[in-house]
Amino acid sequence: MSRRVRRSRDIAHREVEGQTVIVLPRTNEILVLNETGACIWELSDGGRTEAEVVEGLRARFDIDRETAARDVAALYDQLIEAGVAETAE
Amino acid sequence: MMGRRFRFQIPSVELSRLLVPVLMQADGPESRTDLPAVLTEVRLDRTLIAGASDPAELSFEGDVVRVQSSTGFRSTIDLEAATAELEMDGNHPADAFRFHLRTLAALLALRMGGLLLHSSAIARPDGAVVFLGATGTGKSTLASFSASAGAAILSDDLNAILPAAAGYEVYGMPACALATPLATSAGAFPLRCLYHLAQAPEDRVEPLSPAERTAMLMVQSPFVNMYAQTTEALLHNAARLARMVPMGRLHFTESMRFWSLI
Repeated sequence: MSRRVRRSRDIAHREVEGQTVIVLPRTNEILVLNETGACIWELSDGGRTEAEVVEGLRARFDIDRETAARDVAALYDQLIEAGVAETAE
Repeated sequence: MMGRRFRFQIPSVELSRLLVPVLMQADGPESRTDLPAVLTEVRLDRTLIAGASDPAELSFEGDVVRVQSSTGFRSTIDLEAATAELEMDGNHPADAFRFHLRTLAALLALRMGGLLLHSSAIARPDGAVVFLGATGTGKSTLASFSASAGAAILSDDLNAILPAAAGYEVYGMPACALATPLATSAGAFPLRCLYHLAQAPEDRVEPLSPAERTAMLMVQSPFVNMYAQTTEALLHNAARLARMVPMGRLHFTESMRFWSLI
């Protein structure tokens, strides 16, 4: 929960009415994040720890900590594997 | 066979509402003799539309786009100068022209704030309806059914969606995959709605969020959706269209039952 994840540079993405569209350059696929995913994406600036992102998510949505932590971790794994996010130093 | 060079002058990138460029000049008497006939065939001869897409690569240098094909043609499109040049070695000339014009249309549509969509489109009295989908999802079948119900087919393969004074307009491209000679309609038609096609055991319309619509529109924007240089414009144009025009996923059983849903 101490890792810091940030959006990779030069990744094309756009917020569209609360959701986020991300173009995955490695596979030429497009990922659509729902409202909670879009919130995690927005908070992932590399300055916040994963725990802080979990709390930021809980501040916006009525969600328990365990579920939020699981969602953040799962999305981070997916985004990092897709090459659109990376662990910050 | 000697190579040939064809040169097109695009009347006005910003103002022209027609995406098929008007031929203004060709380099050399040989090509000049051939050009009008070839362009006519692109519009009318459905045999030109069959076959796999040419494995061509685009490269970008500012407003200049170069297309290099593995089957013996290359073209240069200068969007700022509004010129497009096609060179080919004589092999697969129909494929070369087709790919050149489609690439040009996709780039122009993007520059004009619109999209060239892999789709079929029909015109009804209340506006045009566009059906998006990958090959085999039923675009041509839908167009054929729609024609039997009295709708005009704009194209069952590629349609340009361009911003208009109010909303968007649909331009059927001179391409049709149907084997039967269904008439295509020229001109612009106001866009009423779009559907993303999915074959299913029942006919129904599933709502899509604006972000999902954006993604579907980008996926079905051939020629320009594989390049980093066009991604931002594609995202921008697709998101705007997705916000402004109703769009859902049409689950389709390949029967006329869809007609009452749209």
